[in-house]
Amino acid sequence: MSDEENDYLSDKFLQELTAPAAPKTYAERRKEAQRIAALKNEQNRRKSRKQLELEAREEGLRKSLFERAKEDEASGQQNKALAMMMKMGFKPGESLGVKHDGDKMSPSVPASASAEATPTGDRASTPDAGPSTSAKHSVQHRVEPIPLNEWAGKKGIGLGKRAASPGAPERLAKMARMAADQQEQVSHSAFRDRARQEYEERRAQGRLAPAQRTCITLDEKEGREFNILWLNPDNPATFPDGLLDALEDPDLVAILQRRQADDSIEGRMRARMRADALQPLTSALDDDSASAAEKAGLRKTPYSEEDIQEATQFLRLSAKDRLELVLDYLRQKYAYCFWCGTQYDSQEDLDTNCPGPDEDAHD
Amino acid sequence: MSYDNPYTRAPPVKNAASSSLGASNPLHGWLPRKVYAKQVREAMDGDVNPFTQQPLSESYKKILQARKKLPVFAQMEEFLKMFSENQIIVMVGETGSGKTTQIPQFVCFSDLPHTKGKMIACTQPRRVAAMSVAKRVADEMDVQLGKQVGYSIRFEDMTESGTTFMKYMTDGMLLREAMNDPELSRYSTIILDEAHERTLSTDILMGLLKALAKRRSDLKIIVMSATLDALKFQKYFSVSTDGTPAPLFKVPGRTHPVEVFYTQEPEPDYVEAAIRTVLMIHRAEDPGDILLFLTGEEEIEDACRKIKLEADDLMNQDPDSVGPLVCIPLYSSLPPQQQQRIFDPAPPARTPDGPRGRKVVVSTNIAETSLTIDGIVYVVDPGFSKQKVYNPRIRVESLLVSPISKASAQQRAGRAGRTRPGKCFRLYTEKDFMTELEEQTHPEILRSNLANTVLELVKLGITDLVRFDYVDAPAPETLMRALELLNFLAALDDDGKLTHLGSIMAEFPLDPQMAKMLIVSPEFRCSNEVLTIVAMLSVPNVWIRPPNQRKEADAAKAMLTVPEGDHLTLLNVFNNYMQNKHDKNWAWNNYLSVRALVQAENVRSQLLRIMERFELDLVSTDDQRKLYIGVRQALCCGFFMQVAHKEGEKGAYLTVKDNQVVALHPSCGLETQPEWAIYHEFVLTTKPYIRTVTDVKPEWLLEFAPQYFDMSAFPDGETKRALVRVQSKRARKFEVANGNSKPSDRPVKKARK
Repeated sequence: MSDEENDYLSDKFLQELTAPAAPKTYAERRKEAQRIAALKNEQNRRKSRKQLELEAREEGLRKSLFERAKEDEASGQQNKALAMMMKMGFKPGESLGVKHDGDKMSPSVPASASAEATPTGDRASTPDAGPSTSAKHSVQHRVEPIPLNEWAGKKGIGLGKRAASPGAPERLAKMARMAADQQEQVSHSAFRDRARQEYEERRAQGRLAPAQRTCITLDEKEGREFNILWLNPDNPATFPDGLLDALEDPDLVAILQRRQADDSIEGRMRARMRADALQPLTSALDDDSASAAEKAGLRKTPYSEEDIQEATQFLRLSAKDRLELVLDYLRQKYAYCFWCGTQYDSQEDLDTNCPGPDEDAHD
Repeated sequence: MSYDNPYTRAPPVKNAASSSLGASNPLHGWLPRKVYAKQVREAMDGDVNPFTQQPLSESYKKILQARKKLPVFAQMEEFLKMFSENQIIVMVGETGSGKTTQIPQFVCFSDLPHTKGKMIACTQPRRVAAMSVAKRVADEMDVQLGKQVGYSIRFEDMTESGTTFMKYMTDGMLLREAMNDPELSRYSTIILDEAHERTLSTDILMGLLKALAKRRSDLKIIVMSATLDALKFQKYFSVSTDGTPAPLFKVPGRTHPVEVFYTQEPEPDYVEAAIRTVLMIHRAEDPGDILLFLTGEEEIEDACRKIKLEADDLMNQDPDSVGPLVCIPLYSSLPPQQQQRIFDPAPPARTPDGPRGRKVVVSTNIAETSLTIDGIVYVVDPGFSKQKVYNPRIRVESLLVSPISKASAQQRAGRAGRTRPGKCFRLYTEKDFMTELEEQTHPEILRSNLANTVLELVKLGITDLVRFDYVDAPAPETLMRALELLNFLAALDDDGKLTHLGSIMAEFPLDPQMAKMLIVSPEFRCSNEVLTIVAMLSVPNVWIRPPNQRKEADAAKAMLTVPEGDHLTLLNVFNNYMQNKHDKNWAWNNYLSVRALVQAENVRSQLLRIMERFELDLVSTDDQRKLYIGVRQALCCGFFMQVAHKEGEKGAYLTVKDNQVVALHPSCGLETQPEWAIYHEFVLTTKPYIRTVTDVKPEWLLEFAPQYFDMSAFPDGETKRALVRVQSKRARKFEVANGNSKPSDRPVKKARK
């Protein structure tokens, strides 16, 4: 009985008193919002243990030990193992094994070997074309370690992800990193930074269009019909039929549409004013749902889940990051430097004659 | 080098009987390497054993009749001619041709190694094969195993010095022998068998032998392989400067045709498709056993259960046309008596005139090469296997499911044609077979950590590891990691030269980290214990965990677990085993593998002999607490490059320097999650795991491996901050204690020099 009875000294009463506290001030609400955001952030982080493992792995696998040694050397640390190998006559980028001079006859050998040695490995997408199994037996030895390929689930051969687009997972991982960076920046940056970023973003936006046009031209010359990197949210024409629907991500689609409208300070101001004027935004949304329903018949998209996932990721990035990806792709795939405006003969040519991957290097 | 060098290691056989028998010796008057098939046949058909001068037994004659039916026997003439005329031969023969047993015997007759005090070596990739083939050949030659014919595998030498002239051995053993005798002067002929399997040791041996053949013109080399890679070997071993390939000796196999079927469409779930196919065969095909290839223990057990259920259903529904079916799993971690079950006959029909029973073996790829199961007529091949691949960038050993190679698929199909014409069902399309599968499985040298091999090669006197004549050269980064490890362990100096310590380490048939740990252990007064741990780490898993008794097995394991670390648990297990040796059921009751424990005991005594040779004392301490600390410190001296640091959220560890996010393996018995953990291996299976883990103190790492934990060269991050904190704390302590002198309570300063 006594348990049931409420002791008048019990702190229950106190709690009840404090609970419906005074209307929250702005600062309090803000704090609350921050707390929730932090919590969510934390949850996100915890949820993706697997993601963490994967990212660490990608990060670790991306860089060859020779690159790492080079970086260490820059900070004054000499790598003893590499020094030993150099003493034995090794040069980074080469393979081990006996050198047969006769085989230098075909110029493609050193070129492809150096391409395989490139770190980002877009060219290493042919990891098994180069090495031992080639028709010419002897000489072509491995330059890179065998990549780690995880087979997805219990899918049979012919349905696996392998070989489809070996560059994709790497690029996906990179995109994820970029997105994370972006978020972090947005939340921490002050107004001035944001203004600067907006300026840079606009500049990148401007550059993106021609870069993408180049990419389309070069890709089409290769016979490629579609590439995620062609997509430009500012230019609906770059979206092939049905892709926008296939994205199935209302947030993103909304963002896209907003982006297509205007995303500058003025634009947001205008949006704000519109909201304040109680002008519902539903018209835009209605439009969207209508067109979605309209296109529902065309739902059978030719795009694989992978494509869609990649496209979604890509579109979420800032223009600056997107530009970087496109330019990276052009450099690796076509040895094309956007800043030089030149397509080089080979990766080697690019490495020696192009001043660098950044705009700054081209002043 | 002449044939009868009086200074060769093994003295010529002095057989008193031979002189008195004189002309009655069947080999009388033969000229080594100028022997003809006619002579050999006569000697074989005689009554006196040409190698022992004893009368030949009845069983010998019976076996001889069977031998004569082998395909290779018909080509003896051709072989002997080619052997006489060439230094290096590449030989190709499919399974069942008799090459592994017969060719070495032909060589014995032609080479007559016993007359010049030499031996013939025939290497095998697997221990079991070396043992069983040696036994078989001893029977065929009518001699006692371990006398004229013997075998030598790691931790077991079954030869008699001076008597044995035909030696089967693992490829790894021959490589180890080469370490102390780079000329391999005790051999007159070396046969590399199963070269197509491309094990790490066989690959290295090919490189060594190619160079050795130039120095030793008296040495003959035979490389035996399955068909696929023969041309590659022929080119590799071309002796002439113009690149004429080495001569090829070809023997047809004794296999039956196998009809291959493909699916029309790719399968969305290969396990489910495999089960369906097995049941389809069971219901619709003629009698004959089935072999299904899957990738791992769990998958296999699961499939076995499902097949059994479905098959019972089928039989109950339709007992007149569907017979009984047994499903037998096969994977390497299965205890041997259960592995033997694959040789059981198929179950009998339920009624005298009812449909016949069928046996289904569900196996990993060990049934692809290592084990032959007779009676298999149907093979189901989903096209996958688990492959071990080492990656030097993050120093991980991955064991992931991946598509097999075309060569592997052919090998699997061939398993259906051992007894009669068979069928192979490939669960992928023909197009995918052509386009998706690689030609060959990557040779082991491309997939392995090379630390051990590099140490062996350096000890062998190979100084230029970069321009070594590899059949397939490993990735340069793998070599770099190996050199890095050996340098940090002080086995190699900064110029890549072998140190004194390194040459001792090389003498132990162990990974360099373990060898190092063993060598320093007397300084920590725990060499007795470290020796045990090293032995336990060198044998297969001692824990048995039957699928239906997991709980009981785990409970038994918990009783033996030492909370500070899995290494100490292994020590504890072995000590308990030794104390309870009188109790035959002890191991069984504790879910431990007796076979592995016996092997550990054997390994331990072998290693002890090597320790004695280098005057490493076997010491111990009575105080268990001190002892355990000593063991953990010795561990740090060997495995300091395999440390993980706990960071952030629960259970997440980061490997030191490579920053890989890893988890403790579920088999790990640590009571708590220590901040610093030293691990025996880092594997990538379903997740990245560290396995066999022990709690260590960061102070030990800083003290015993100062080069590796050099803060000025350490990558920034949480790990470094933690280490720096420890370092400054240590420094303060010293200051307080006694100015600038070193702490005195440490048993040794440090293990390196």
